[in-house]
Amino acid sequence: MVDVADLYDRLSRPVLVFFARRTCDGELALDLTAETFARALEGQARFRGSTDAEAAAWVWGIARNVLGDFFKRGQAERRALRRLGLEPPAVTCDEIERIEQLAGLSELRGAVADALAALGARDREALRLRVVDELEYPVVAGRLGVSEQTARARVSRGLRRLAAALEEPASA
Amino acid sequence: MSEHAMDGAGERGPGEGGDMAGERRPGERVGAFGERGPEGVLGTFGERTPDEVLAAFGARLRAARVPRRRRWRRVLALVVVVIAAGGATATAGSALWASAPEVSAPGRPASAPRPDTASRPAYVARGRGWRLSASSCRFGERATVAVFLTVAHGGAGWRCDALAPAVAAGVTPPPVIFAPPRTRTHAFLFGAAPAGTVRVQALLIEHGAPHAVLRDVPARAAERPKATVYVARVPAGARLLTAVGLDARGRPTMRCDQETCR
Repeated sequence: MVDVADLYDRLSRPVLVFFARRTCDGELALDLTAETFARALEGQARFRGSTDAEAAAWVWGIARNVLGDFFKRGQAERRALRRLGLEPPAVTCDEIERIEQLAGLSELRGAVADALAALGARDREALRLRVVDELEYPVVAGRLGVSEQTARARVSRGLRRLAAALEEPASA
Repeated sequence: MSEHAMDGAGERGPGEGGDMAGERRPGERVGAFGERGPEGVLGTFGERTPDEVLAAFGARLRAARVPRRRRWRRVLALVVVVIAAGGATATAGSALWASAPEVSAPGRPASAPRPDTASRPAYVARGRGWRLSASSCRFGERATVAVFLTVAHGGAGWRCDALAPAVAAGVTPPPVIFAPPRTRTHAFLFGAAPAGTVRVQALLIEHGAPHAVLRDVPARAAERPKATVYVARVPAGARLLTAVGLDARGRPTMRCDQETCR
C-alpha cells in the first residue's frame, strides 16, 4: 500500500503552490491541499501503482479533481477532511502572505495583468464577456457582432495567452 | 491573541465573519475551525513558514484514522434483496460479464484521472467475429462509457482507468478505428454515444479515395450497463476525420474529433 505520509512529505509543498497559483489565494490553497491529502489517505487502499512516479501521478490526479470540484462549486470541498475528523490548517494573515510569496502570486498577478493588457481589444472584450460575465458563446457572439465560431476563437486565443503568462513565472 | 479570535468563523464565504467580514487584521487567525496550533502552542501563530504550516497538518494527517468501509453490510443487504426478489429472476436478467483487459503502467496516459466508480465490463453488442463490451465510468458528477471491441486475436478500446484527462472530460471517449490483426480487408469503427443517439455520421478518408466519405452508422441502446454504442465495418486503412451523433430528430448529441467528444 502506498505511504501517504511519505507522499505528503514529498508533494505537499508543490501541491500547495499548484493550488495557490490557480486560485490566487494562499488560505484556500491550504484548504485544497489538506482535502487532497485527506482524499489520498482515504483512497490509499485503492491505489494499484507500484512506483513513486505512479504514486505522485495519483496524488496530482486527486489534486486536479479537488481543483475541478472547487471551480465547479465555487467553494472548497471538505468532505474527506470531515470523514477523517480533520480540520483544515488554520493560519494567520502573515502565514497566508508567506504562502502567496512562496507561490510567487504577486509576480503572477502582474504577469496576468500585463498579458491581459497586451491582448488586442477584441480578444480582451471576448474574454471578459465569456469568463468574467460568464455569458454563453451565442450571447458573446451577439454582443460582439460576430459569429459564434469567431467568438470562440477570440476567447480561446485570449486564454492561451493568459495561460502562457501563468506558466512563464512558474518556470522562471 | 484573544480567545474570540481563536474561535474561527465556520465556513468561509463572502459576507461571513461578522464585523471583520472581508478584512483581516495582521496576526489574526482566519482558519475555518478552531485549532490549538501546531503543537498546541498558541504563541507560534504568525511565525510559521509554509513548510511549518504543512508539517503541522502533516502530523495530524499521520494520526488520522481511516474509517473502515463496512462492505460486508452492503453485500449482506444485496444478498437479502436478491433472496427477497427471488434468486431466479435476479440471475435471469444478469449481464454477461466481459473480461477486463489489463493496461500496463506505460500504456496508461499520463495523469489519467482515477474514476470514482467503474462498472464491470459487460458485453453489449456482438457480430460476426467481434464482441463489444461497455463499462460505465463516473468521475465526480460526470459519467461516461468506455467501450472495448474484442476480436479473435486481440482487441482495442477504452478503459475507465486509462482515459487521458481530455478524453475523460468529454461526453464519451472518441470513436476508435481498429484494424484487427491478421485482417487486411477491413477495420472496425466503434464507440459510445450519449443516450438518445440513434445514428452516428462519421467522416472518413478511405485508403486511396480522393475525397472524404460520410458514413451513417446506426447506434443501439444497451441496458446493462446503460450505454448507446455503435459498430461498423470500414475499409482497411480508413482514417476518421470527425464523427457526429444524431438523435431521432436529427439534432446533434455529440461532436467528436480524434481527441475528444463534446
